[in-house]
Amino acid sequence: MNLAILRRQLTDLRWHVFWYGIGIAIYAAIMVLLFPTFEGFLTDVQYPEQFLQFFGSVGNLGDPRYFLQTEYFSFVPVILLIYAIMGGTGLFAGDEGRGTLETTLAQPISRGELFRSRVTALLIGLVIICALNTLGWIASVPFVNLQGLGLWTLTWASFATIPLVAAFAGLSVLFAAIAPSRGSAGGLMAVLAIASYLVASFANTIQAIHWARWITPYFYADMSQVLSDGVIWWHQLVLVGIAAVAFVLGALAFRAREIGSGTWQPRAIARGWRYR
Amino acid sequence: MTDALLVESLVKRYGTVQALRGIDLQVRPGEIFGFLGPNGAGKSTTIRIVLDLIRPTAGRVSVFGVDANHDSVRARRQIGYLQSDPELPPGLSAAEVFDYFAAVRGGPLDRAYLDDLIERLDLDTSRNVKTLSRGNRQKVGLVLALMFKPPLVILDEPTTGLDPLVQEEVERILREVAAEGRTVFFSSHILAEVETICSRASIVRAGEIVDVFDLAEQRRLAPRLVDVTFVAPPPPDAFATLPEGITITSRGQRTISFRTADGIDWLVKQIAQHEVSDLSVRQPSLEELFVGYYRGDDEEDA
Repeated sequence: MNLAILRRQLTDLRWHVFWYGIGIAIYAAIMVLLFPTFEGFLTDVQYPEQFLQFFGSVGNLGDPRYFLQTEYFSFVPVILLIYAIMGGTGLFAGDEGRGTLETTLAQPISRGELFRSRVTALLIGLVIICALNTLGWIASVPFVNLQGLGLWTLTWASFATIPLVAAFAGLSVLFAAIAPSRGSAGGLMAVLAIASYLVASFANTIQAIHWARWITPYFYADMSQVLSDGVIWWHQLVLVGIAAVAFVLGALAFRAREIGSGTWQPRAIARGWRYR
Repeated sequence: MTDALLVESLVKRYGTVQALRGIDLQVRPGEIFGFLGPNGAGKSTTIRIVLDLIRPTAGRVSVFGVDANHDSVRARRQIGYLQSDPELPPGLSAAEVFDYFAAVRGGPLDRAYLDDLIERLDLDTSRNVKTLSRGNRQKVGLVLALMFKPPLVILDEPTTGLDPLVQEEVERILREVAAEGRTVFFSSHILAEVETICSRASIVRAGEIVDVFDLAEQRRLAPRLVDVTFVAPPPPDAFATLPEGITITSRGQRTISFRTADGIDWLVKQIAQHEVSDLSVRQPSLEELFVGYYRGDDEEDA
């Protein structure tokens, strides 16, 4: 780990992380503060079952757990995936596109060291965003009757998004390491993220493709039950596994990547073990 | 003595395109070595392989005996590098860029030397590098390449974008680097630049080394170009028969240009038989000497 690179990367990410964290904290606070306004109305409303299933929620929206699962926890991972994709693809490919990666790699540091330092910064940024999110709960939960739903549960649930976002960050880093440019990797990841979200949502409503939810990372995030039933530990392990495998493959591909060649380099993954 | 840079049979292919076709180079410690060639000849590709930014299809590169691809960190510890049109981390001032890379690289930094370089290149280190002109970014890149006093300095088109006064200062700095026993390897497509400061140079064209030459030796052996202006047109039969080694390159009414590899004494005596209004004797520039290589390249390009 190179601390100078880690510090630099965190400094580069600071405003990105700050506004993301504050943004979702405000979103969290607004949702909590809005709940009493809609509580009575939502208790009486009978939403179509498919509608609720699409958002993964199967309970009464008059219950704050189901309300926040549907109105907040279904969407926040999508917002955080933008951070994962932008950050993951920009970590090296953005630098490569600007030409600054060449200046850094001309120094006597290994690519593995550079990779570890920057990926660590990206993941620290993610944890800080989730920590900043807590400010939203602190600013709202004490003022609203959430029927026993406490600050700790909400904070824990916010941090439970990390494995999903880390998995997409890992995939973004991996695709950026084999793609010709940041744009190609970012586009591909955006398609993957949207497709994954839609497949997970539709698979909840359409019985014929119910099985498809198993192949989407969203399913394993358990965001539709994070407050009502909690997450399933092995689901989180699957996401952590995807993240770990993606980061390892990304590291191998980056080690063998031909910097600045602007071509697809999938074979770099297999060649990576030869280099440091 | 171990070579500062040794490149052996270096081949680089991109699909069907062969960028390098077996480059061999031997750069000795303490010399300023020019790597000449037109744009697209393979200079930057060779340098990028030395820095392990890209990997060779075949061949081997070593820096002071260390394999540049399989032990690249150790090899790069010996290298200071200026890329062509340097790109620097955005959002930092030049001073912060130097501090950042000093921290990344670790190890000792001679602050007095750094300050001296900054002063000599007349660099304003307080400005954000994003706002710097091409020339000033080049200066930052040069300082970055030199500030750690690396044993091998690799410069890719180092004087591009610099004004003539700064170019002269850069040349002085590079001579000092070589005088300290450190090595400078720089690529350029400007022959005059190489001619001014290099002790040896190689010419690369279409991915191949077409010549490696010792510039001092080259100058000693180079033919002389003699341009004479006579007061009156010399008789047509004057200089009609010339000994071997002397040729007329152009002839006007009162002017004749000779090229002589040998026989300058004979020529001067012949010229002296006529009334001369002007005379100049000079060595051809590298450009004139090696223009053939470039012409060949131009023909291929055409």
